[in-house]
Amino acid sequence: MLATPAPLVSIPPGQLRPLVPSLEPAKPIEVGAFRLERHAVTNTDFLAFVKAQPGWRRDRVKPLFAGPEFLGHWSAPLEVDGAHARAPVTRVSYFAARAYCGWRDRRLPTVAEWEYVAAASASHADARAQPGFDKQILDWSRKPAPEVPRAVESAGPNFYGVHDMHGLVWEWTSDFNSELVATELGGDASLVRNLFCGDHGSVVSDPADYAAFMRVAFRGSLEASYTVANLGFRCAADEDEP
Amino acid sequence: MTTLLLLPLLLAGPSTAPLPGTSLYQLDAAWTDQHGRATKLADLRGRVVLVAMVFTNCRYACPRMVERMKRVEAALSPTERRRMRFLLVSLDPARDTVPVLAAFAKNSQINLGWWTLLRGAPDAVRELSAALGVRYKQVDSGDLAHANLLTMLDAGGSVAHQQEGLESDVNPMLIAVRAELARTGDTKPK
Repeated sequence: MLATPAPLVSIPPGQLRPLVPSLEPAKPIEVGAFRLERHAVTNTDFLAFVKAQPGWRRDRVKPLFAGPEFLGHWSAPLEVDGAHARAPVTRVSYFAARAYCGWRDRRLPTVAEWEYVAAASASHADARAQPGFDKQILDWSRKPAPEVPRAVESAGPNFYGVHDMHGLVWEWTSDFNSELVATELGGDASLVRNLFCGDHGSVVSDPADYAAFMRVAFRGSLEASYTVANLGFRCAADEDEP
Repeated sequence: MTTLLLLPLLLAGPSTAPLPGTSLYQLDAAWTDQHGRATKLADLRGRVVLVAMVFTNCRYACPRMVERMKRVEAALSPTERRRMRFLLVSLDPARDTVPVLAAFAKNSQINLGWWTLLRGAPDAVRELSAALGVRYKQVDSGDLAHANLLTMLDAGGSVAHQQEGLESDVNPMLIAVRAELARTGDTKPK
């Protein structure tokens, strides 16, 4: 199968309500125009990268850049079986995801960019207030991950024409490590309180947005070398690039 | 045959041997120091490094982090200090320009014989923060919320010891630094 990179979809600028406000009243986050890959990077896509940059073979990668499970589901260091070919690549570290996007002259999306696109349903740019939207995502995240994720784009596109923001795998973002946990806020007790005390409903901007809060917690648990079975990625690009 | 092939490596000393797989010196990003000089992390190879990620506009946590590092510095002999590098890497390269870093060094009364301040591209900062495990975020006020993490890198650039927070005892860090200085005592830094 020819490993052409996923097409980029243009995303118009807009605003994202912050999920976790800081001490000041929550200001919307401005998201500039950018482009996002239509689907997650597949195993076939990633194989082309590893062939071009053999330092990323699972038997050669340095431990700084990836944990021991790196690409552990491949049948050999340079071999992907048919069942995985169109499935999103998983068991990839942050460093590997970054390097892949760099190789494509692209980059990882920021958390804000990713969440902005993930707020869309098939019919609405911001579906977070739509009945059932949150529940559908939560139902997916509660289900055990299948042995092999289904192929990318086997579910329909969202409002922007982007597939599988939900219901397939979790995805790396460029600033995944900007989700702070309580011990890391420099002893600022009020900020800690604002983030974590009481019931979640009082700190999350939109109590219906519990699924997004789960992603915050998930990102907060990651380290850059982690290679998780249901964590993949897709790349982004600036709008003005060729 | 094998011995002959290895010989040039051995003669050239430790700085040309392959880096350990866990070494942060595999990160190839370009940095600029407080004098405006271009540098790479790998230039620190052979030294014992204490590194913290800070920003100079920070009024509370960052000066206290510098104090913690100074406490380790003060406990070492002059000879030991010369084999160390106390490294402050800015989380805020937009505001922490070279002159700002130089002024911060002066105001903090740190000895640039063995202290270095670095700024880099946002992407380099994010990459290093990910490798060290320093979480940080721009907050609405324009400031940065960040982990107060002090890391010791061994002579090969691998993370050897980490301490989180501003309250804990620095002695375990000092012990780790001394152990590494003793272990690498025969190897002169460049």
